[in-house]
Amino acid sequence: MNKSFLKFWNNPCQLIYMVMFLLVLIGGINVFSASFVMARDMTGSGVYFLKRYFLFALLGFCGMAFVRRVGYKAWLNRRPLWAFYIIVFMMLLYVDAVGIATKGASRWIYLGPISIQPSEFAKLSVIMLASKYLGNMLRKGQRVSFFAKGDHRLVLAATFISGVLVYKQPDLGTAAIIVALVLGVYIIAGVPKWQVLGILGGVGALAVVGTLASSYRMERVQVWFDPWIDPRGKGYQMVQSLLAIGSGGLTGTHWGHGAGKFFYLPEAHTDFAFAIFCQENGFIGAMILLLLFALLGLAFCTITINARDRRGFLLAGGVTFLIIGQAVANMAMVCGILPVIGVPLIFISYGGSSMVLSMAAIGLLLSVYDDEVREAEQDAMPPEERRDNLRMVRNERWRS
Amino acid sequence: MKRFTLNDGRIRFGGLCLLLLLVFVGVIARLGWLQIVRSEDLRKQSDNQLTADLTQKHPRGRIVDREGEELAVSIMTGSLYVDPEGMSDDSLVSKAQPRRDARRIAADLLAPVLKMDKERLYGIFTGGGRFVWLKRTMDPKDEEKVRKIIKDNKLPGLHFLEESKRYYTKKRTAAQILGFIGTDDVGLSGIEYQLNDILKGKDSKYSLMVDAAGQQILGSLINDDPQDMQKKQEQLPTVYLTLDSKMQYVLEDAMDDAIARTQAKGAAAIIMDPYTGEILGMASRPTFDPNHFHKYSQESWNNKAVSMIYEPGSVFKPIVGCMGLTEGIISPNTIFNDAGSIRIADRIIHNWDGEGLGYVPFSTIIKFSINTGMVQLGMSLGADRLISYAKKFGFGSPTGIDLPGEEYGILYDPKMMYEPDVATMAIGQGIAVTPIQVLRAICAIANGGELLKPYIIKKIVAPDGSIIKEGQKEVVRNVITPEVAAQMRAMMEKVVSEGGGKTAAIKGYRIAGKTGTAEKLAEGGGYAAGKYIASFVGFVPADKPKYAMLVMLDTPQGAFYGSQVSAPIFRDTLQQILVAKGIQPTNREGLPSFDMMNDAAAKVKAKPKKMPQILLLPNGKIKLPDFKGIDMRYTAELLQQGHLRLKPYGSGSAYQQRPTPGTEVAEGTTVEVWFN
Repeated sequence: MNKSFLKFWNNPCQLIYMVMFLLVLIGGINVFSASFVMARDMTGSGVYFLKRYFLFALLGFCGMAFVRRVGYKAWLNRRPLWAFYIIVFMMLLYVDAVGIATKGASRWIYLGPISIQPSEFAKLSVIMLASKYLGNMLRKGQRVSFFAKGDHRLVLAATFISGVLVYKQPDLGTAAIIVALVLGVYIIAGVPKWQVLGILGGVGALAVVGTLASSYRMERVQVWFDPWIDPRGKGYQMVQSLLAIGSGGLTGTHWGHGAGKFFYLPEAHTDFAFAIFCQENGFIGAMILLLLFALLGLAFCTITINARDRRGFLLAGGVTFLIIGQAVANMAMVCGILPVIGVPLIFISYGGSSMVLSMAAIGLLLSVYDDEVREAEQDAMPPEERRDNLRMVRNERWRS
Repeated sequence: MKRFTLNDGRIRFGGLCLLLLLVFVGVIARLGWLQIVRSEDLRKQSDNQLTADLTQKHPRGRIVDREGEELAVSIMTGSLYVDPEGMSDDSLVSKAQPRRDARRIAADLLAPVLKMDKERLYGIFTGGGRFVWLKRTMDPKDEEKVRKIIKDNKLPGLHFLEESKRYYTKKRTAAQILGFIGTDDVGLSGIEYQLNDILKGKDSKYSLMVDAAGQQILGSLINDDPQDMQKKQEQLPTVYLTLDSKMQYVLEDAMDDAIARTQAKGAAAIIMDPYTGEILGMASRPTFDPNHFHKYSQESWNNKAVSMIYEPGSVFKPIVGCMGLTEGIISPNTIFNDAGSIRIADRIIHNWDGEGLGYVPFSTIIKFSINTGMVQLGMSLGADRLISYAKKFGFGSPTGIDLPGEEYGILYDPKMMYEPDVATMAIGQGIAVTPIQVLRAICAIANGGELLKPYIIKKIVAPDGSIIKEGQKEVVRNVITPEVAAQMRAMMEKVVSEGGGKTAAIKGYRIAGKTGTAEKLAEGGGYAAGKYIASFVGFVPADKPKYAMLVMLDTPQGAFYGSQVSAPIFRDTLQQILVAKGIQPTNREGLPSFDMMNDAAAKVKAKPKKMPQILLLPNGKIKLPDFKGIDMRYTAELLQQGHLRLKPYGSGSAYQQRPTPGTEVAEGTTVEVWFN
């Protein structure tokens, strides 16, 4: 691989571990800075969120190692896959039921000291479903199309159901992300361009009509374009985010000295943690963070491009969209390019479900890489020692 | 259809990644725009919302009496206000908590503490706006409760502002002099109004770093130097009045008594130092409690001592007498023929009883307040001299006392006066005066001819102890010669010792005075039938006066002569004051001997309760009785009998004394007695 470059890493896997380590470190520090005021106010202990952050990071790391060890192919088997989806479905249903019962928004399941966000599970589950069934189609040489007959319609159904349940929480942003992730997998699986354009056109038209039809959404859009029209009302969060970022300047206010966390910026330690980071570390700090994400993206893309197994390719692509796509979306949202949708920035935003599920997803990606390495090793072997046919047959018998 | 290969997928994946890269680059550009190009502007805005320019209010300055005893003080207390729109901002509450109606919760919890209706509170909370007062200057205990409720329930949008609250420690005492303040610390009446600029709590502005909830950011990385604002609290000047709160207390007590007894519509009384012009006591009725001024009628807020105008009646006669003496028209021995009535043009003026005394000297005219004699004097003086002397004595213009709302009084234009007008003015009719004008004119007689500017602000002391302003004796002009003044004092002394003012006599003291009874001026002009102003003005001791005092009762029911209703108030009040101040009687003659004490004892025995007695011992000492349960006036009387001084504390009935009962003390000893 890239051997001419300054050699901090030998392969994408090392790069991912290195970047993840740095991101967890930076993210932990930032979560602490962004949350200690609120944590002290809520729980009396300033390090409440910091402790939980590292706890979840550890849990996520274990989950990642476990998922990688088992291997993506095993996870994509029908039983674990559908079992996972049914659990997600039940959790979503439960959350919606609670929401109806309390006549309010409901996005979490509270289990004693921890709270679970099922929509994060839903994101991963639909990517895995899509990877399996579209990968199967590709393997059989079928052309992927939304209108094709076959098992892939299960993916559409599962996505639709998850999307609707999340939308009903209500969480339009996350529902849109779920649909977009599946759409992304369909695109790289070769769905005809006219269908993609048709869907995008349809969604676009629906968005325009939906916006014009509802004064609430209209205001949201207006505030997106110019949050300063209502700086103390609907534009408040955006304005506070921009003030936080802008006041950081080139070098930042230095760690701990940002003002945004003093209850000015809502969600300062979660969805808008990036704004706090920019405030305290300035443009230079933000560039370093962006570089880390770029390196992470580079590693993900390398693994995806090098995947030979079609399901592995789709899964790696989906996970790349999940991690890197969401990261880019969050940063774009925080600095006002995208409207405010509740998407977290992995490792920087505090959020247990998001962190554990994202790291599990990275575990899947790494297992795709493991397969690549294995196959590359086989390629390197003399042909008489490969016996890949034999191996494949055994694999198939085991696993389906 | 072409078969879709893995390579096609990679190209598509690359395309999507390119899209992401595009957004990524957009983020970099946007961050550059925000953090480099617009940084300055955004930082300013951020700092703006971070620093709250707060106003520290300093409590209003104190008003104290001449000895420094507090009459009006201010303390800082919280005023609760709500930001109704801010109440919706429930972002401070953890996500883990279910959504709640913070307004409803706040209304339910606060209603009992604020003593407001729940629905009304809820109405305010849902009514929009960003600032609505809920309760100004709260009781510290209630404030504590509300703060706890806000904290425990994390209620948004409810805030306190420190404001100063005024306390009038002696309640109704000197109410009209002190005045009162409105809710914005603005003096609306009395000294509070007069000296508002000096007393008003000053605001000092300072900046604080605050969080979004408006709480000061303390002890965190962002604020290394938390300033303790309380330490910076400045003091404000203290206003010392010339009032003596003990005398004021006695005066107020006497006024209450008088109103209760006579059912008078109103009253005013002033005690003044005749040599300096200091006002030692001043009371007006009806009165009010400045702590709750809005519960009383507006009339009660008026200081009648300076703002009520009335015809003085016979009280004016010594002044007209001085005119005659100064002009050399008469001497104290000039003989007048008193026929009981006198005809001037178409008008017949009678003596109060219609009786004539025949040929009598002028001193008798004053002594018995004979109208016919005064009319004759007035006619010889004539309109021009009467009016110009009246002006010289300070009538027709404000005295300039440092109290608001002072009236001018009314004087005739001498050119417009007909003979009967001249005649009636000589007996104190056809001229309208204020009580303070009368008293200071009489003081000119008392002090030997100096017309003084009365004052009530003794000094204003800055927090550092320096004196900002000091009230001083100010002689407006000399109106009469010391000889004329002495002659008039002698005549006025006879009024009390032998004439119409006997009811004002205090045994052992030489008192000069003059009674006056005049028909009340009706609102629309003319006289109000059957309504009288009964007044008495005098000073003590007559030769070298310490105190001059005026008592005026407006429309007493039943007895209405000045000698009947006003003179006894003068006597009772000054008696207590003289004893309390330890002013020794000038004349021991007629003071209680053993015989008289037996009389007094007999009088006391008639009362249902057994009263303690002063026991004069053969060795010249006095055995102190137990004063427990008796009132201040009687205590003073008893002590006076033994030539002892009273130092009273509080009011009501005695409960403690020093020296203890049964102690043998010498004459002139000060006895401290506590009343409650």
